[in-house]
Amino acid sequence: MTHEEILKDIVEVLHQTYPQASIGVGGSLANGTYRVDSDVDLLFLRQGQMESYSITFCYKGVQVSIFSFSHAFWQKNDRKYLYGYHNMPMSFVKGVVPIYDENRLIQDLKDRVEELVNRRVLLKHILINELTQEGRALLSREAESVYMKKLIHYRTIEMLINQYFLEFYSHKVTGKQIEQNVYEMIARNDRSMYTALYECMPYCLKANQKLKFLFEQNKLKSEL
Amino acid sequence: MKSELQEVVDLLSDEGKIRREAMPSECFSLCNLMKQFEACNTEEEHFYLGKLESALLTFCGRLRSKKALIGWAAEIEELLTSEFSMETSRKVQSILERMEREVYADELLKPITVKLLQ
Repeated sequence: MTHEEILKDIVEVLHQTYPQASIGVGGSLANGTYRVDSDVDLLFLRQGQMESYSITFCYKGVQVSIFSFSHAFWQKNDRKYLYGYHNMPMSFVKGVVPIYDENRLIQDLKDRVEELVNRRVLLKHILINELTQEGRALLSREAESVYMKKLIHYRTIEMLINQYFLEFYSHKVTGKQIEQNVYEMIARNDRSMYTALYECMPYCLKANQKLKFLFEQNKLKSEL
Repeated sequence: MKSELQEVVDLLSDEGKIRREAMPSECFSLCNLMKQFEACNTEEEHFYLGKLESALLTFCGRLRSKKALIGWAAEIEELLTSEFSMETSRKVQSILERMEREVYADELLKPITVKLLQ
């Protein structure tokens, strides 16, 4: 069975059982880049749903995942997606092609993602400065254990990367590839930032000093 | 016997059942961590270790929030208190493999995986 046939089978069963639900296809099948070993990813939305979940199973030898999101999910994660480069559900929704969407649930969700990105572009300098304040507070904390020191160290690195993405890619919804290879992307675009981050990994006392220095540099840049 | 597709279709009608069937969040994190170990040969070692150490710290936080898993958290944390190296990562990996076998074997064998998205 081809991926298209599998998709058709599943979507028809879902639509027959839930005619009011919105159903779309996402991932590589939606953008035409799928391979034999690719998954089939679906978006399934129902009016008034409370839970957000994914259900994964195997159908005719192909892994199928059904993703579903409530309104509360986006409200709860608004800040996370506004500041962060971890845009996985956003990139998935953005790429979804609606198949059944009479109630415009998928279209509304896509509009929501677009609105969030527009907001991020408009607010980017404010967001960068907020991260600076947060980072400053974090670095001034007295960590009571090595465990806490390490946590603070990595959270600060995460903040620096978020600042970097806000500065240069606030208009973009980054996909899984970028999320998984964020340092490669930085290496291609900003060699000095890459080298500086390299010296901060993994945690050691020397790395901690380097990170503080890097943060100060970056902080100054964002406040100019 | 119902097909898996039919089971999934039925499941979609009942959010309560979805919640009940959901994989524990730390089990899902564990699966993600195991995938990270596979990245060992494709990534720059420095970044590989940094990303892994950071993910492990977060993972231990999750384990600590469940009483029954505190012992596992302590075992991993002990390794994280010193400098993190490839050797440490191998030791942690073997703890996680043991955790997969001893705590989540049934969960990981389920033909339908439900994950609540937070």
